[in-house]
Amino acid sequence: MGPSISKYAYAVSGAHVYEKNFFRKSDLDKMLAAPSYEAVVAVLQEHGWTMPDDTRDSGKILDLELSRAWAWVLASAPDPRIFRALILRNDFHNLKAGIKCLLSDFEVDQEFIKPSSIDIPLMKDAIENHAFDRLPKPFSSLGQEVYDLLVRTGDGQMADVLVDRKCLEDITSEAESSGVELLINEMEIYTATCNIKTAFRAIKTGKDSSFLVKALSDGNKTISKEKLVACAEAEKPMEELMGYLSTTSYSSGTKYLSSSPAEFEKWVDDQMLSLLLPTKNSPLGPEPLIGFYLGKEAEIRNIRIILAAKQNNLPLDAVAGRLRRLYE
Amino acid sequence: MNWGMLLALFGAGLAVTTNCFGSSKGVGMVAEAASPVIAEDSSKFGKLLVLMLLPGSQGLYGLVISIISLTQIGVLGGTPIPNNAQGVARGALYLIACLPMALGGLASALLQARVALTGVQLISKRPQDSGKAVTSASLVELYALLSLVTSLLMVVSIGSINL
Repeated sequence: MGPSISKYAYAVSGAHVYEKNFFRKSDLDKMLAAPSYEAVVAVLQEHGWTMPDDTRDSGKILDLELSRAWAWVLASAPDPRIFRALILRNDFHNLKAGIKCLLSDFEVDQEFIKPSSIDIPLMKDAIENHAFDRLPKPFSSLGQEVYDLLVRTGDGQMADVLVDRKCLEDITSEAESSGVELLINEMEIYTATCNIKTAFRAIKTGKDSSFLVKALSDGNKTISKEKLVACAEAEKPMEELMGYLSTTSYSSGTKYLSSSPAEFEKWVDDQMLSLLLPTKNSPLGPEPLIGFYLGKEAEIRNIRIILAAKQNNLPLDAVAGRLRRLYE
Repeated sequence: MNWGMLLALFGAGLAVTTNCFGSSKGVGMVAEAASPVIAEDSSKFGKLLVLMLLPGSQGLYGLVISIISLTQIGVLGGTPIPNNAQGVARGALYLIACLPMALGGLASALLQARVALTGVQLISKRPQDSGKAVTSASLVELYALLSLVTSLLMVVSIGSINL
């Protein structure tokens, strides 16, 4: 359990002040209508976003902004450990990407994502020197296992399965150990929909049920791993899967799975954001800080879409349909 | 040992201690919440100051009850509580008389602070609505005042009760 909610007065008030600078729907519309990538970058700069030396690198701009928000949460929250579940997936991604880059002779940290709970230099150093024992649990044993697997078999998919499953299970247990209902529910949606996507892709590509047993994480309350595995064993696995999903709380989103995976991603993001709104104006407690960070992530996801659209001259209509709900 | 005096002093102490605890916690929370808003725009300090002060009144009410009790039981003048069975009963009555303020003040200070915290957010976003924020927080003050009046009437009446 975290500290008493009364200790959150300063952090929550600070988050509400910070949120006043979040972009609104009208700001996103203006950015979409901006004539160029540079014009969007100028709007971000006017809004107080820190810019890297090379503003052509949109990834760096977004990394800097999200890291700034995370650093603020770490500095302000009475017990930042309870927010670890929010960024745990970045650590697992960094471990997986770092090992793959090492074995492909790329720079180990070129695909690293920030913010992360493990320092980037530590992660880089541990991977480069195959010294996984320098990492905290569970990354030490998992890193060694994935490294050995890739060296021995080169099976990148199995490495992904190992890391992703452990990641989802750790996110679930971290959220549960925080005791914060909002965080538990948010992470439940995240992990359950990851399992849905895995099951859908596996069935679509003809994988058998033994693959799903290895790939799907345990611990979800809204989705049954056993039932997903059973779908793969059915005579018509895809029909069985869709039939099962239609009985779950994700039924309204799963219709997008077969038509457009991107639409399903948007639906998941919007669901996660909707869950944050009832506690947005709470004066105390960790919920507004969780909302603050996930709200910032949603904002950054939208800016990423807009910047990519501007860089690639994509049609505005298609891009506007991809924009996520904002924390407002 | 004068058990009557001990009970009465416990009541007087309780009234001031619980209220000061509630008020200090309440004022502290609101002041903490106000800091980021003031850091962003220091012109809002005046509007926020009222909200910061509101949960502090219960501490003063507790002090009033405590001082009046002390004047009634012979610590700050008045007739000392006798060291006999009647004195014990009288001391217990003073303790009971202090309870409405001790408990009502504590609860109202903490709850008022929560309302004031939402007021801080309101002022942060819409400074023109500061009156609404202050009025909302002031509504809780009524219950601290009811506790004060109840304790006050009880404390000043005990002397005239024939035990």
